[in-house]
Amino acid sequence: MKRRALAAILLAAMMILFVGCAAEKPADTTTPDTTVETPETPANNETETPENSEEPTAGGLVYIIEPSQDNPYFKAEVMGAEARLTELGYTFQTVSHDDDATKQDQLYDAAIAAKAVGIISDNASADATAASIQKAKDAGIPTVLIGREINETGIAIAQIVSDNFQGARAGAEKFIELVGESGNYVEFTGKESDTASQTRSAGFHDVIDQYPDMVLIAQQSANWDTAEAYNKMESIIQSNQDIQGVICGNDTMALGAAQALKAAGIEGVVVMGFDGSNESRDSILAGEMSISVLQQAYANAQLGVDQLDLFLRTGSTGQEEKQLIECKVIWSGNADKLETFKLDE
Amino acid sequence: MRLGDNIRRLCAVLALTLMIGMLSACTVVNLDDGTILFGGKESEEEAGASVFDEEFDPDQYVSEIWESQALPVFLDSAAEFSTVYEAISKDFDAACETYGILSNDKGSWVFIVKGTASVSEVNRESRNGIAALLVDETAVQLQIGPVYKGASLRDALPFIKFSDFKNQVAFSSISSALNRYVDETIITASGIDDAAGKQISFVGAFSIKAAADDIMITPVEIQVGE
Repeated sequence: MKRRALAAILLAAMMILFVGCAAEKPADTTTPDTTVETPETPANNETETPENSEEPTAGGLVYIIEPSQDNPYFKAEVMGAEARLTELGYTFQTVSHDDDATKQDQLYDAAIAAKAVGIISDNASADATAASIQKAKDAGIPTVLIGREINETGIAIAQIVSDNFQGARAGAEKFIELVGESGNYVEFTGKESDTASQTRSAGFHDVIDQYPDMVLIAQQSANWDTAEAYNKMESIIQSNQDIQGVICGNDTMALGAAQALKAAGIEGVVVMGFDGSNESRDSILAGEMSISVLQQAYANAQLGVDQLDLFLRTGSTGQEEKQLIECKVIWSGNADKLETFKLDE
Repeated sequence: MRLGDNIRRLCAVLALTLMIGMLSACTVVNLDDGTILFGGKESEEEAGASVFDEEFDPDQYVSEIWESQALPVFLDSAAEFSTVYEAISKDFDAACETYGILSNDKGSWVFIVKGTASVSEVNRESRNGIAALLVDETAVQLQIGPVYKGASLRDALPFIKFSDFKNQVAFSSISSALNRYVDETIITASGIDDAAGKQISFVGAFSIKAAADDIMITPVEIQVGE
């Protein structure tokens, strides 16, 4: 009886310890993204004349519903959309959903109330957005999604999808090329609720996990934040300096990780980010970050506007709803050709 | 056993357990089972909707379409490599129009080719194994796994459409499954690993962005000759 009681106490004690460990949350630092420079207009706008350009423009008000433009990637999407809409004779109202599905839904209501002729959007949530788009559709307003996709089809008229998974795979292939096929590496993922964070991590691992001699020594979320990535990289370095690579779900985290490595005097680590921002370009050219993956923010937005315009004038986009657009690997070999989310090849 | 002994044993085990609990940083992740964890959370609900399509088995999909749909497209569409290569070298845009298929992500052009070649070398130093070929006088690479690059096989098949699948992750998984299918059913059986110095005939696909790009063919058929 005594032995059983002791075993039960021991088991309970172990469970308390391990449950306590699992309940430990990572530090919840919700520092906003670091301030970013104002992007310049790209030198060469790839604005092709739309088909049927003899037909008069449809005209009208288009709502641009986007995340906060504090992130230069989303700012580039907005700039691309606004420029193209203006060229085609539309007016626009640009609003931010702040990655909040509830706020996004309210903005769809606003677009409906304003009798918008169309909506261009990089959506807040792969789950909740479909309902908002359906509401607008029922009110006669077509929506074109750009950047991030939703899993439902038949509701938006077009989804210009930035192929993050392919981009992450391509970035990881470059990562393996630079690191070699063996080594220790660290991963910082983005905000856990963001589909982009999962998608990019999955893409990275789709490649790297095929190399059994690549060892993941730490994986943490740095919530898309430079300071958080800096602090976490610094902590990791304190216990382990034998690191050959760091992969990050976006450029802002990669910049933080690269800064921490530099501050610790550790050189030769391959640091990968994602987005292809001007900051990542500058860091790569300075030899701090090594790789980023360009999302064609400006061009994708313009393509989205062209398809909305074609739909409004002819009743069809002429394309399948879901369209993939490649993301391009940026590294020291081509970083000098990158400007505000456009690679001059 | 005496109570004192038991208490001492209990204390020792508790102390050990406490040490293990403290030493095992919650942020170091065991990925042996392929689960991707985010900051220690494993729950899908906590991480938001999963990007993975649990109901889609890409390997099963490929095994279903290979004989009936995929292979016929490759065999019927394949143009002679030398003809395609000459066209690319002469006028890339025209070559794309005549022989090429725009990749699903609009980033490259895919060409389905067949030909005979001599094998200069089979190199498995990298996990992206390569057989170096000479087709007439043109040097090309044949990728022979186990790790494959690109999505040439999927992009060469127009009936596989992004719209028909849940999302980009599912769509990409088809490419991986096609490469796996080739790796498992074609590569080893072909005897390519012993083909250095020999002639082979092949059918496969490659993707390029520009005329000057290196050509790396993913095979769908290999026959090793003398």
